[in-house]
Amino acid sequence: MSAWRDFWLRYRRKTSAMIGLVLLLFVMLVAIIGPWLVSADPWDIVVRPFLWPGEDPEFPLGSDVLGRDILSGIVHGSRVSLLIGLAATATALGVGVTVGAVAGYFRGWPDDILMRITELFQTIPTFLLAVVLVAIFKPSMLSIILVISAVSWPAVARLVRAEFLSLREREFVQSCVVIGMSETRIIFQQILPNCLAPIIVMSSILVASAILTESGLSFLGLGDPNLMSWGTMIGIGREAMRTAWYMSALPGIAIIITVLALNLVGEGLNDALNPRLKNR
Amino acid sequence: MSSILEVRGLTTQFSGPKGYVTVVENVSFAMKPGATLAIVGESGSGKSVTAMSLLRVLPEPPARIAAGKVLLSGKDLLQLGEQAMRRVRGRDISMIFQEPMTSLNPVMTIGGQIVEAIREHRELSADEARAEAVALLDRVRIPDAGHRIDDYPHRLSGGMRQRVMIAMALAGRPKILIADEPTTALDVTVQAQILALLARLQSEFGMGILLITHNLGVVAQIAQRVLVMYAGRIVEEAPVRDLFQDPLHPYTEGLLGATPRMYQDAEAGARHRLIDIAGIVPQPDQLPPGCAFAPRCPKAFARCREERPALLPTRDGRQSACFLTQNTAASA
Repeated sequence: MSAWRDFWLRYRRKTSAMIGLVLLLFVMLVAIIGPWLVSADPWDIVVRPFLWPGEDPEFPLGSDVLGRDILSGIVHGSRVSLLIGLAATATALGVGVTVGAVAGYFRGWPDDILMRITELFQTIPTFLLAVVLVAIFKPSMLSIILVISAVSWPAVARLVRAEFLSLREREFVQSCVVIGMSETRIIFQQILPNCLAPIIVMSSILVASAILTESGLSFLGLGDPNLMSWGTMIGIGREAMRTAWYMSALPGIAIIITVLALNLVGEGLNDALNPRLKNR
Repeated sequence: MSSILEVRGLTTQFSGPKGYVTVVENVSFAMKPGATLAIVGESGSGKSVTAMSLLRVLPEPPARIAAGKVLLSGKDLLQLGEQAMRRVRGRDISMIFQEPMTSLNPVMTIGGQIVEAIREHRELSADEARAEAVALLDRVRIPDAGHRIDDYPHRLSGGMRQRVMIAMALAGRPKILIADEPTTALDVTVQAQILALLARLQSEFGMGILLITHNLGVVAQIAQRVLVMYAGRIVEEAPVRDLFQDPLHPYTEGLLGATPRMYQDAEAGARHRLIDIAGIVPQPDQLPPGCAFAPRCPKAFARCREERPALLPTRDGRQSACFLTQNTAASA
């Protein structure tokens, strides 16, 4: 379809956006097929500890304090990071879009109530709230996803509400009302598609921040104890930071690459989806 | 013939900084099935608010319908719950707007929008609804409807978009179509096409049209009866022919004088000059104590500034709210 072609042509124009996309696709490729290429389990002790990168060609990125393969950890960790990032973002979008749409469309008291709740979440520092919530629940993949989405939906809700407040005044909404269309249909089928652009842009940033939050939690030992994530690896390497800095640095680089890629893609999407803002 | 829609004493107010301001006051009229009733008046005379009050689509607050009855086949719409009212919209009464450019959803194909409208009212499968949408586009004379249905609104001209709007409004097969300035934003040639289309659809579907316009040319083309509104009140009601030949209210005369004509006065040998009505419609919260039109009326006299003339029957089933016509009616 030509709309997609137009979009792609606009997206392609920006070098940084393309770099971000290539990096992101690389990370996704690693997450999908990587685990078959490296040793089966990142928790297995396979070689002597403190093996520096490049010392042994069989373990190109070296080993950690217990002799676990760092390459395997990073590859498996990419799966954990992306999965948690995507799942948390999807949940946050579901909640945030619904709350924002209802508040923005109906205004009045539903808006007041929902926005006060949203603000309540926003006044507490995101990461602290996440730490407290994980500490309350048992750390597991599911609870971490829920906690991250619980701290990131308010931003979505506010964005969607603002879009709805302006879109609901548009005449096409009025013409849907006068032909008797139901509110659910007007909200989700008529108005929502009109604010997809900012939502898409925001979701790429949300995935990035979800990955950061997850890494932070794992670094503090609040991650799922059964999952080798990048944050867990940094946490493990922290004990040997002065003697073997690579243990923390390598998963750190993986985080930087992924988060940077997502941010570049988000910026590229923003420019491609809002061509009129291009010459800012 | 009995009327399908009867409005009695409709009064709509908006809350302002100094309490409620009456924007539409004591408006009453009746619509006959299959006929066209026009409401004319300048901007700010309360035409659109009247129409939106019928469908109850004004934002409440700040708006409120303070009094009156809107009887649709005997049932008072103002007493209905929101759920029941939604079933009235689109099925009994539908509406099209002035701006075809912004009245369509920019991110949906026109077919998608019509299908949505159809499925809101009838239980149809996706294929049936699409076939119905093509049929509707055909009925509003969109050429090559089968292909056009997948176009986005930005690919259509203003006239085509207005046709799509009409198709959407007809999806629920309404008995009454409210057309709020349906041709104002269109080219003159396209205006004529849309008016002809509305007239044809009216006879095909047998629906009543409530036409809201400030354009007397449009009124002359398709309406049978005319209500003239000024400052939120009806000042004259008449069959369209009588209104053009013999306007009773000075405001109507003024409106007609401000309309360009080609043939009139030609036999008299005089060139018709456009005469404007001096001044503007007063703000609804600054109405004069007497007749609202008195400050602009060339025929106003002392009584007009002190006492408000009621809308009273004159002759031939016409009504007028002017002391002059009432005097002549009394003396005749």
